[in-house]
Amino acid sequence: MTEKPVERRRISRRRFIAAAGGAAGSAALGANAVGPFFLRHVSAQDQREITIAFDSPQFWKDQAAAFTEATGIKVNYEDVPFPQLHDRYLAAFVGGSSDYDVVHLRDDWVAEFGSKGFLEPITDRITPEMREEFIPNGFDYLSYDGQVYGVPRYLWLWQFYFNTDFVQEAPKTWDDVLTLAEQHTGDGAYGYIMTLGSTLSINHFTIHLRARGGELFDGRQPTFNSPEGREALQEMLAFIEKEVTDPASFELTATGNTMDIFNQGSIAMMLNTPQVFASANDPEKSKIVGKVKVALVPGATLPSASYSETGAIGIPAASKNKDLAWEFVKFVTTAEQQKQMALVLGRIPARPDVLNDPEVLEKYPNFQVVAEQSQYKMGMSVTLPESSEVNRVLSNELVAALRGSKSVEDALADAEEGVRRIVGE
Amino acid sequence: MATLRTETKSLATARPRSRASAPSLSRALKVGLALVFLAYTLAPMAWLLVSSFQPRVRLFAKPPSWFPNKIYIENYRAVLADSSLLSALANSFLVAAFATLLSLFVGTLAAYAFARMRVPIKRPLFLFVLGSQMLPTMVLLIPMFVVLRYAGLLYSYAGLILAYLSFTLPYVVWLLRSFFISLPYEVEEASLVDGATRLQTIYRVVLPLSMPGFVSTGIFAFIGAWNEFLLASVLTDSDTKTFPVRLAQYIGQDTTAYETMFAAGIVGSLPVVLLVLVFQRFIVHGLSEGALKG
Repeated sequence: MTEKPVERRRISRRRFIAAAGGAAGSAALGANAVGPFFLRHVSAQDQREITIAFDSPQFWKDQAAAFTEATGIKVNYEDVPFPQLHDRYLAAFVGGSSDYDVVHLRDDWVAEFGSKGFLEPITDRITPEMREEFIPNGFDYLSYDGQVYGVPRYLWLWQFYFNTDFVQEAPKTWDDVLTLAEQHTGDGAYGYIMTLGSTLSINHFTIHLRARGGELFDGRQPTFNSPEGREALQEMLAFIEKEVTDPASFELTATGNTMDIFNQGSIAMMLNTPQVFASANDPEKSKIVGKVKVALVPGATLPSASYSETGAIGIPAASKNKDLAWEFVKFVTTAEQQKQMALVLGRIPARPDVLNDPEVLEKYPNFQVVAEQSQYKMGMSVTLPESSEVNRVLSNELVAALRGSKSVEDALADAEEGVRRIVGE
Repeated sequence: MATLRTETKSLATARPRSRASAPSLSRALKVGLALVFLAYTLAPMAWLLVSSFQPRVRLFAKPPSWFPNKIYIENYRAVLADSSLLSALANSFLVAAFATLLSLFVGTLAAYAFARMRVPIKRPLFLFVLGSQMLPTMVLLIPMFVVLRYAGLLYSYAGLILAYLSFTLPYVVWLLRSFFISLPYEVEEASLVDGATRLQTIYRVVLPLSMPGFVSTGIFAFIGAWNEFLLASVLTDSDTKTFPVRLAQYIGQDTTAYETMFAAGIVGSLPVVLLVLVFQRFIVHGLSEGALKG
């Protein structure tokens, strides 16, 4: 029996492309076949459920699952990258959507969204006992025009960090910081680093200004172009002119990037946010494990001052499930849930009882100075409905002064003029 | 590079032997410039690739390290174990493919009409199509959100595909019209005289003749839809989010997971790189034949 000769067929490029395209298309369609192609969010009307849009860390999703287990209320969790949260909410609010029942809030978002009627006032829902449970002024940061719009969950507090390879004792004033920075700059090391990209130069400026008793705004009136303001900016400029600040400072657009450079071990001191302590002590991320200390932010004419943002939670005015949403707000701000948040995410809890919890303090010694820091001025410095525009103008002028392209006096005068034009004062 | 080599070779043979030093200098200059441009273009991608094989602690080392002392594959392990990332890749493919196919189908007919047929107010209409490209996407975001919401298509694949047509379709019409104009009309006339309908002429004569342009236009439309971020960040939800949106989730409030983001970036660029490699011949022809005509 003779074997039939095997026909060797070459696969043409066209056939190959068609096959590859077909396979990839089938795979894509197959992978998505379970999701409706056209319609989304079709759920039973009688179902008790809420929808939340917030950041991606797994803890928040686990917390939502714990809420469902405790109350039977289903939670649809939309994880949205943090930098996109604001625009995502804005599109939904302006577009008249009632998709979200619970939203994350920051101090300045409260002013922006609250002034336009996008948020549900919760003033009447907050009991006097509840007010007592949170940090002093906690609800003030989340109020606009006499109404409270959010319940605080965590504090995004700027703290003073130093590397004990360079500095053994925390400096008390910004003059001390400058002196120490001069001593420890050289051989590839810098005494200090700032985060001056994006609009973060405002945070540094606020801290230096508040250390002199100044403030950026009094209501809607800009007050930063003052003797205190000029001294504060001059002080920041000294760190640049004396070349004790890492030149990368101007390119850094997030405190996380500054932290990564600090973790390399060539920076003596910096201002940064609470994530530093855990990161700097993680061998996977840091070369300075066990060498980081945190202290009260140095002062000038006042002993100390800082800057903080509040991570809060609120309810959109368009939500159709406000009572269920309020149940969620209460659940995630209980002491038990705040403690879990602090332990898992390293966020500074907004409740003093949790902040002083021995287990929390043992894991995050950097929280020990929070109570003392909160005795001094902190909070956001620009909380106007026009914050985005104001921040852009102000930070451009601050950076112009720090880069030496404008004098301190001219930069602050121009900033004031630009800001007044925006806020109409 | 192959084209460059051929061109320089023909230049060299065309010139007299006594003046050989001038072409060789010219060639050296061209090659040198090409290498500089290549290095400038590829350096960020090379950096991305190298960084994706390094642990986080080495990413910020001073001086930076171009050559990792050992290959670190944990970043890729994390990416490939993440089902949401793979699902986002599939979503991106689905949306980009449908947006491309739809815009090619509709765009071919529109482009042909603009190129060959008598259409009332043709020029203003074409300028309107082009003008729609000038609008920043940000301006269209809220109106699109509202329209899709009322249409019941918000957060659906279909909604995002429709939104993507707003930029892929004008692009396709604009490019294909140029290709169609560059074709000799006599060929189409012959087809029509032989009894073919207008649609048959487009399908059997015009499209085969302009295949390089058709394919390269499709690829660029696909890449545009594949990379789009702003619309997808607002018009999708957890189930329908595309790859660029998923990639952005590595940027958190605390910090950015650069190491995983870099590895994911490499994985996410592979389908497009593969596509371009497969259709490279068409792209080169398409770019050189008629993209700038008309």
